[in-house]
Amino acid sequence: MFDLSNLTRFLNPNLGEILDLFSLAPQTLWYALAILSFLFAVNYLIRTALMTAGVWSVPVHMVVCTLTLLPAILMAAILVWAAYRHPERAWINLGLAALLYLPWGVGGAITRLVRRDTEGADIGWMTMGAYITFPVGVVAALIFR
Amino acid sequence: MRRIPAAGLILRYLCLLTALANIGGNIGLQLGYPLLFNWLGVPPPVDARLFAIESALSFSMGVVALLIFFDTARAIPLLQIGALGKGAYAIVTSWHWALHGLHWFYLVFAVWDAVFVVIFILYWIYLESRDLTELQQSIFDGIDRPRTNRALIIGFSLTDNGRKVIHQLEAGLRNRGYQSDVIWVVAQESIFRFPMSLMDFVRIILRAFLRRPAKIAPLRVPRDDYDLVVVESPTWLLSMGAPVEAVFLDPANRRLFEGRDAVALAMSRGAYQRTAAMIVRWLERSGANVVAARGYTHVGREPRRLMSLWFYLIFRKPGFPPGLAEPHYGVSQDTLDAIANFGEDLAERSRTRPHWTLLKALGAALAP
Repeated sequence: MFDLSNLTRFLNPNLGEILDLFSLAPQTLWYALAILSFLFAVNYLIRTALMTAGVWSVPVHMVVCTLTLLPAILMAAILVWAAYRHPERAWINLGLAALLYLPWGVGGAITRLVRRDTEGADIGWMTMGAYITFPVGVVAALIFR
Repeated sequence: MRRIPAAGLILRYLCLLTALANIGGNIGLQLGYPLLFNWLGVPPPVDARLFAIESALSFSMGVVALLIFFDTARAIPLLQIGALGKGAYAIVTSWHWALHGLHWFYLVFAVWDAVFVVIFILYWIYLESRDLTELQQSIFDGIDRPRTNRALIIGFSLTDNGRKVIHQLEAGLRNRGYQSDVIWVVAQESIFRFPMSLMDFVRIILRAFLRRPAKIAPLRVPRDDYDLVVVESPTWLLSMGAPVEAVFLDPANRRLFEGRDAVALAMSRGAYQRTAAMIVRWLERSGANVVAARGYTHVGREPRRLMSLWFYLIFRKPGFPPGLAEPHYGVSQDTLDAIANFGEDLAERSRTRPHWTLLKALGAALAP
């Protein structure tokens, strides 16, 4: 097993703080959840805005596709990192990850307040995201327990 | 489907609110922050020069918001800049509040800016491609010239869903005296067929992600006197199917669209918005007069609807596995009826009248 415990020594202190924050440590948990909620909601808003923009652009299309599942992938990575740093909280973190699907969906749902021809929150793709997040999270919890 | 008219007004005035708050607030802060900080118990800034620079940056963000308020027609890039700037400020400030003991007074600004990130992006969504919403809820005037009552319908269907839709549209047009020629796009690559292997499915998805064009057979169009062209496309990974896009990529096909009324039909499991936008823009680029766009989605509710699509592609039969998949694959009967009605309305679309065009242009110029 690689020892990652000193990884943050080699980074800008702020980057180290980011890694600490996204390990979902108990002392900064609420702030981590708040910032992830904000990012996930904004992720959906940007995706919706780009849906009808840049129709010729391959990069824009790739960004739209990536944003469709980005929170799920990010959450899976966070669950692995958090399970490594705080193995005793790995199972609780799965519940917190489920909670973060709410702001992600809200980000999509509120687009319909301004434009009814948007899809709103696409529960189908979010479910696909759950198939990424939670198996990875469970495997991480089992490995690092 | 309808755009909410009040939403634009509310969002625009919220931009004015943050403009005044950022411009006025920062001037006020620089003039009297010692008094205010003393009253609220906020420690004085560690570096007064950096505090002034931060105020100046925040002031400039207010100017950005003011420009958005005054010129909504060119607001989208400013909204993007505003959302980025306010988002960065909100994250950095809240970060220092949460981890480095910054006074709560600064958190108020962080929360304000976070809220305005959402408002700016919502306004961007509202303003982006406004014509597409109108095209999806009404039928615009056709070109003012004698009608031949002949329609060309170009479509591509892997799983027969698009085929049903086109037949319904054709029936609706026929009910109102239109004769239609349906031309199916024929892909010259073996991966674009159904049933498909898992590997072909993965290749289609990867190619859709990278927007790689498809090779298609030349379209064999029997006549040249159509007054209406309909283009139907499935949605693959949130965008139009590559074989349909190949129709537009061939310059020889431009003659099929140039100077004719045209309609975009987007078929999708649930998210047709980008496909409809792509077809409309391709039609416009090809010189067509786009009179309407419609998106149609599969029957059912999520997440079962998306699962049903995957199951159908894997097991090649609707309603399997029972209980997990929707009993019916594709569009509902109600949707098919609506498509037939749309075909009838399309056949009876009005023609552009010069004075009406002038009024529309005037209305667009005066719109908020």
